[in-house]
Amino acid sequence: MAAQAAVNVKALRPTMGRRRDYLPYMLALPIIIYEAIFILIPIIQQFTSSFTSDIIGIGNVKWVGLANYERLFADKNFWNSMRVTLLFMGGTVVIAVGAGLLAALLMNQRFRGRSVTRAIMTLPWAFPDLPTVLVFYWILNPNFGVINVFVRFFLPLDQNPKWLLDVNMSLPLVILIASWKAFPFYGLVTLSVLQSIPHELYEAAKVDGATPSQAFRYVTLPELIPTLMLMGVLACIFAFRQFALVFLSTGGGPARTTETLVISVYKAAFNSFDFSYGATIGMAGFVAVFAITLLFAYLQRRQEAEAAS
Amino acid sequence: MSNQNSPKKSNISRRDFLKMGSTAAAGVSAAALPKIHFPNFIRQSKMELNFLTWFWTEPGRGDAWRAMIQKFHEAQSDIHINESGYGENDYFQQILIQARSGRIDGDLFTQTPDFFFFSSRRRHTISLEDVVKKAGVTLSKAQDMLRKDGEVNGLDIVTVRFGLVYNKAMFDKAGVTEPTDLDNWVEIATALTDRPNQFGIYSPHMASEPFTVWFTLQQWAVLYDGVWAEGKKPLLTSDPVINGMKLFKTMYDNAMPQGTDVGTANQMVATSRIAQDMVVSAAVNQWKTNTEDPELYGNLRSAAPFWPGGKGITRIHPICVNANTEPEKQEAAKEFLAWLYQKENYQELLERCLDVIPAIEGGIRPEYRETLTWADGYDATNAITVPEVLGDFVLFNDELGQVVTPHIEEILAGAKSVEDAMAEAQVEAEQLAERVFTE
Repeated sequence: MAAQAAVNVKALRPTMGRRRDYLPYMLALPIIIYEAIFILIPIIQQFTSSFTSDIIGIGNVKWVGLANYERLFADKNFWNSMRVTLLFMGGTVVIAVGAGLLAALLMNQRFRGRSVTRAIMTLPWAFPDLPTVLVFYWILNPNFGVINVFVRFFLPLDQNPKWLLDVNMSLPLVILIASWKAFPFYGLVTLSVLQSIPHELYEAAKVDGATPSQAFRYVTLPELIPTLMLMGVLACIFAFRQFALVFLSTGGGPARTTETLVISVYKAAFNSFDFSYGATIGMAGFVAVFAITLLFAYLQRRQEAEAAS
Repeated sequence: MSNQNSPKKSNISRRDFLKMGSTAAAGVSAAALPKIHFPNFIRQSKMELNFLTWFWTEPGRGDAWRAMIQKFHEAQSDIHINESGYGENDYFQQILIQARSGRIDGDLFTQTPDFFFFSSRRRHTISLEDVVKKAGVTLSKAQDMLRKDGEVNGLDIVTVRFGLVYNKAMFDKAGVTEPTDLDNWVEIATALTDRPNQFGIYSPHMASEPFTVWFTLQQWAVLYDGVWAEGKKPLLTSDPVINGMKLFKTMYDNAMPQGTDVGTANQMVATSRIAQDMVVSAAVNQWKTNTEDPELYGNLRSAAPFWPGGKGITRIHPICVNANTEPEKQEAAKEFLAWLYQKENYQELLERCLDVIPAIEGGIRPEYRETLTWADGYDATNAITVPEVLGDFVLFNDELGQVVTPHIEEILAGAKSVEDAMAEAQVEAEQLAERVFTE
């Protein structure tokens, strides 16, 4: 009997092993199905749609090959949107992540009221988009905005600046609004990394005679760089996807100076009902973000390799 | 000895098979069989109709319609009308997407004139000739634009006309009178401006409100007796359009509260901080019902046309019955419309809405008209319809607006001259025409 039981146990092992192998896949299956239905299939549909002429209500959907891409490359409004998107992305990444880093360094110091200050710092991030836009909308109103009082106090101006209506100021202002809203998130992430850096490293640096700036350069920054890289990628993607703040504050104007790619997609698809051209712009954006993500992944890997060596 | 640990064979018994088969067959049958519509007397319940419109969110008009529907509910017990729809800014986009996708999501729905052409061509509407006969009224000549194959497919429930509303008290205080020509108008608007406390005129100009901007901008070319397109040919570089946009820019620079959205501007008119507003006649209602200043409504006037041609874009907004709803719902909807179009009910609706242009003969009571001190200028303005102003682009109104408005922003921002901006817009509009006029 004992021998037979041993045989049965042996016979069981491969089966049990196989079951253990399947478990991760089974656990991941729901999210894979979800992502396939709601992300992968729409991307494929968008890709195929970009090769068709699909203006809702005008004739039937026709296969047009690369015609939409030809139109895209010849469309100066698309190149303008691409330029605006990259500027918005770059500006938001630098300012939001930079301000987040500064805020985290400040919040990492010991001072009275630190907890309250931290809580206040997170407020912009917690604000919904619409109230945020409304607040800035009024602050920056050329006629009634409170900012005019301060500006005219310091500068000898004949009339109020037009702020969001000014083609030269609209994009920087939208970048500032988006950065103001986003920086607490990056600040909190950075702060958590700062707090995980062993204090002994700073003590050792101090014993070696390092100044505070040297301690930051040789202790803090190397520990932060992987996180900053990751936040850079995240900030790029968030900035690229940013729709509500830009659309609500300027609608892409004035004169398309804040018209990012997502707003172009929206206008093409839902204002002009040209879904195929909207899909084409969307594909171009997808390629751009994918390329940026790959670039960051490459830089991060290289940085890790350098750190390991 | 059988191995108890071997995987169990998944045998399905005949009973299980039959059970699963019958369940599947029942499901397929339920999905495939046409929906059965029981007549009202069998259903023993009210016929529920969804009335899709933007009126519900419009100050004054929403209450007027609720009152009329309440009256209809009290007059009969078979039909119940439910509110459905979106705010004005969202409505057109939502319903256009629905229509272009195949089916409008309402049994009754209101339309803009441009959208009526689109939806009737795409067979979203049905003939309402029998409604007119049953109501026993005679439609005004203007209603002919709502005919398809000779039969009326929509019943006008509000006709609006562009005009210049002004605050007489502010004019009197500044010692100015109604403009006599366009140059004089600029002088008056400038004289009435005292930034940031008071402004001479408002017209929508915010990039975040592109539809409203385009809606009003169309009238600025009409001020020079111009149109935006003839047939499929855009006329964005024509003299009247160029002059209209120059006038718009001048007014923007001299007399408008720059950077102010429509909602805020309406409040500023209500508090006598804006002296003039280029608006459609229906907009006046909000300043009767939505202001803290009891004097304001009595001070409002509309200017007699002082511009070449004296035309104002006249927009007929019809109510239609959905061609794609169930036949018994269509009949119920017609029942409601026949009731609404009875002369006394129509007059009541017109008065509650504070409207001024009737769709039927005898649709406005003289005693009521006499109370509308602000309406004389609108009455004196000559009508020009949306198809006359936009040509075949009436079917692609929003798309043309998408082309024009970014260039208007360039003009307002001083980034480009009117001529250069409109020349670029003309090229883009011609490209749009190539894409959309394919049928």
